[in-house]
Parts: sequence; structure tokens; C-alpha cells
Amino acid sequence: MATPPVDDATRRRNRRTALLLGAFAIVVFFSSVPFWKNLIQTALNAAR
Amino acid sequence: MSTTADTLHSEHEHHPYGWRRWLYSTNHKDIGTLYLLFALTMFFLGGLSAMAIRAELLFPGLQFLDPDLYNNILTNHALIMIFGAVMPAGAGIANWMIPLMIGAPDMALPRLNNLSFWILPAAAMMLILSFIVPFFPGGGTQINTGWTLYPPLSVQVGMSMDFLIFAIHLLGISSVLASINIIVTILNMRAPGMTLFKMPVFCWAWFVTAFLLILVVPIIAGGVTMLLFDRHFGTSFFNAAGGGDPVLFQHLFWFFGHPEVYILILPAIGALAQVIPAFSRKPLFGYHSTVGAMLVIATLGMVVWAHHQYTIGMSFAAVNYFMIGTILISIPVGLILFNFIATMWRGAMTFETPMLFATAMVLLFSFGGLTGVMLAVIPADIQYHDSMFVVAHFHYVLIPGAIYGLFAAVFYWLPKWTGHMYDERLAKIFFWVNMISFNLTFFVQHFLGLAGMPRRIIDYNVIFAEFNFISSVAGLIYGLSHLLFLYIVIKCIRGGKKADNKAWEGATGLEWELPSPPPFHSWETAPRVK
Repeated sequence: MATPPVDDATRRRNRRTALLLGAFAIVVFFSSVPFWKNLIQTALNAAR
Repeated sequence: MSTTADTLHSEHEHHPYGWRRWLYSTNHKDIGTLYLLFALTMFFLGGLSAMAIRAELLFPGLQFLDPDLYNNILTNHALIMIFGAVMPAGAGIANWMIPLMIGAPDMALPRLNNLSFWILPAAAMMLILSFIVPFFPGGGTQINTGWTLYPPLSVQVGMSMDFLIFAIHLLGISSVLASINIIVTILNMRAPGMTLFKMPVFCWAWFVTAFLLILVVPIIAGGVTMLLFDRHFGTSFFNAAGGGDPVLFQHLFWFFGHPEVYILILPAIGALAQVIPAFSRKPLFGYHSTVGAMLVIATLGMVVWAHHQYTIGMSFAAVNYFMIGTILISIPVGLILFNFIATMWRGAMTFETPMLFATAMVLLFSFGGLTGVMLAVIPADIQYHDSMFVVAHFHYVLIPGAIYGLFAAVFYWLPKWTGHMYDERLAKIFFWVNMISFNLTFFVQHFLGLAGMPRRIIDYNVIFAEFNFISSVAGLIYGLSHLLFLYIVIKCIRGGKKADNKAWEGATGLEWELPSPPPFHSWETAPRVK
């Protein structure tokens, strides 16, 4: 057998936590494009 | 930590044999081994490129490389070492050790674990292709940007840059998936009684590192995606002529790039927190403050990125903020180093190879940190910027700070992984040759930088000849010394004195309650931690 048994409740909890973290990573990825661009450019303009 | 662990394991060692065992593997130990083998291969590839750089710089004038090829090799050296060697090596050790240390039967998401690893060879292939493609007809120009990939140069480079961008995407996906797995494992799979604050510091270090990875890797992925769009789809994110800003890429890059340093170093610090108490035969001094300091390092490390960009013309207020923030990081780093030294204080210390590497890391990483404080100071940095001083600084940070920590971890756990003790005499020879040649290679580069030798240049003025000669000869010895490491590891895998369950007298933790090597499936019955 490939992996030792894990009970269903833990398996579900693992899947939920992983999906949450994965969704967070995707949000960070997409936020990097418009959000950081605007934020940093605003800061740069203010600094000038 | 005392346990009432039920160390009984079912006798079955059912696992696939041959290539299926590795390709389809969902076992954390096998995947850990795959990561480590991959990292070792890339380490030698990255080392080979370093040898080429130092051989070229042996004498003034052009030796055997042309400037474009030199820049290409330089870029690949950094990318291979960071993404191909150090990060996967840390992930390999994490895969092997975290489930054993927290009493989990495996990683939380074993199939995701398989995917995280097997993305890596594809990414490595893309990375290597980015180096090779320019040699073919129509392959375009070579990558001459360095690992920072700053536009506009990176927009103008030929198609090899596209391979590199996709390699970074794949490496990023692999890192994020592995990080998710590590966080979920630590949160959900700990044995009963193993509270977060009973967890070994190594696991804490990886917990913090995994969060850092999820927070910053998508940012560089976003950055290189925008670069790809600028190159092929007519956008102007980084093109001033189209209303964009090339400096924006620098911000995005260093928002990832600076925490990346801590991503490389924190797992090594975590390993030291296991090694130093074991060979000092004392518990770690300041467990909570060490964990707290790692959290502070991660937090501060994310908000000081622009100290890499003092010369771009930021406002005085902005550079001051980045300077003060950067210098503040030396406090939690100093606290961790203090805790390590306090652990050694009046301990019954012995200096087996893991402890030698750990001690060297404490000393030499402090030195790298010291030059880091010098570089954080704005007026000084404007002088040192883009000089060999910076090269000396970050090699003093990353070789002792990350690679020596990994060597300490590998020698510490090698008996657990293989079931054999390694050849201690050879390992000590390896340590001393490696440590002395490392210092000879990089210490003189401080003087080269202070005297004005720029970095990333194939040729140099004859006034820099002597120190470059010393650096290159020592660098060659340093590089070759790793062949001895390879021999020691192969020898240890093939045989040697049988390792006990607890290979080191002073070692503590759940992993040492398992046989050496541990059974294919470990902790099927969770231990109960008191």
C-alpha cells in the first residue's frame, strides 16, 4: 500500500486547509498585478 | 520531551519496486530522498558554473568565455543554486523529518507531495534549456540579466528568457504546493500531545518558511507573468515609453527576493536548533524566543525589500524607512545566534561533523550579517553597490547561513536515513577543507569590492589580479571538496557501522525513537507525547 491510513475526518480537514491556503496563494498572485502596481506607483509618485 | 510512544509498527513493508516506487511515490521518505538527490545533482551543476566563473576570473583579460556566455553562466549559477539546490534540499529534509518529528504517518497530502516533486525536473529542464537554446540557430541572444531579470534588458533578451520565465512559474508552483502540504501537515497531523509549542524548532522553522513562500512566491510569479506579457502581448507594465515603470519590476522582484533569503536560511536555522542542543547535551536555550525571533524575521523580512534598490532614487523618507527596518532585523537574528551560543555555554560539547558545521554557521553567518548591516546603511551602500563586496557579503550569508546548515542537518540525520554511520574522519576532513577554502575564496572579495571592482563583469583591471587569483584557486579547491562529500554520502548509503535508533548520545525528539533507517511506514500508531 502506498500511504498509511488516515481517518476520514483528518482527511477532510487536510483537504479544507489545503484548499484555503491554495486559494490564498491564488489571491496573492492576482493581487500582485493590479494592487502592487497601483500601490507602489502611488507611493513612488508621492515620493517624487 | 518524554513520550509513551507506541513504537510498534506493522511489519508490512509493502511498496512498489523499481521505477514505479519513485515515479508514483506518495511516501514522505521516498519523496524526501528524491528531493535530496535532485538538489545534489543541481548543486553540482550550479557548482560547475561557479567553477567556470572563477576559472574565467583567474587572470585579467578574457580566458575562454565571451561576455554574453559569462553573463549567461552567472545568471544560471544563481538560479540553479537558489531554486534548484538549496530550496529543494530544504524541502527534502522537511519531507523526511517533519512527519517523523511530529509523530505523523506521512505528509497530509501525499499525492500533492508527489506532484510538488515531479514538477521540479520539468522546471530544471526549462532552466537548462534557457541556457542551451541560444546556441541553436534562431535561438536568440543569451540571458545576460543576472538572476534579478531586470527590464528593459529582460524584455529585449531572446527566447531563452521565455524558458526561464516558465521555469520560474513551475518552480513557484512546486514551492507553493510543497508549502501548503507542510502547513497542513503541521496543523492537522501532529501526534496527540504534540502541541505547537512542544514541536521541534526545525518544524517551526519550516512552518514559518512555508507561510513566507505562499506570501511571496505568487508575487514573483505575477512579476514574471507581466514580463511575459510585456515581451509578447504588447503590454507596458515595465516599459516607460508605454507609461509603465521598469522600477516596478524591481519592487516586485525584491518583494519576493528579500524574503527568499530567509526562505533559504530559516530551515537551516531550524536544523541548527536540533544539532546544537544534541552536541552540547543541553536543551535549547530560549525555545520560545527562538520561535518568536523567526516570526519577527519573517515579518520584518517582508517589509524591507527596497534596501536592494537604494540607488534608484527613492525619497529620503523611503530609504530611511528601509534602512532602519533592515537594521532592525539584526536584532531577532542576533537573538537566535545568542540562544545558540547560550545553549553551548557550559554544555558537554563534542565536535562531530554536524556540530562543526553548526559552529561554523554561527561564526561565519554572523560575519555575513555584519557586512549586511554595513550594506543596509545608505551612504555606505551607495559606495558598495554592484561591487564584489556585495558578492562576498551574500556568499557569506548563503553558504554558511543556508548550505552549512544543510550540511549540519544532512550529517546529523544521515545515520537515521541510511541506517549507517558515515565516515567521521573523512567528514571532518571535508569540513576543514571546505571551510578554509570557502573563506579564502570569498574573504578577499570584500577587499576587491572596497577597492572598486564591479560585480558581474568578465574582465577586470590588473590591480585586482592577485586577490582574484587567490579567490579562483581557493574556489577551485572549494568546489572540488564537494566530491569528497559525495563520496562520504555514497559510502554511508552502501554500508558502514550500524546506526542505533538514537545515533547521537545527546539527541532528543520522536525521530530518534524509530529504528534507523525508519520502516517504510512509520508512526502508523501515533505516539502520545507528554
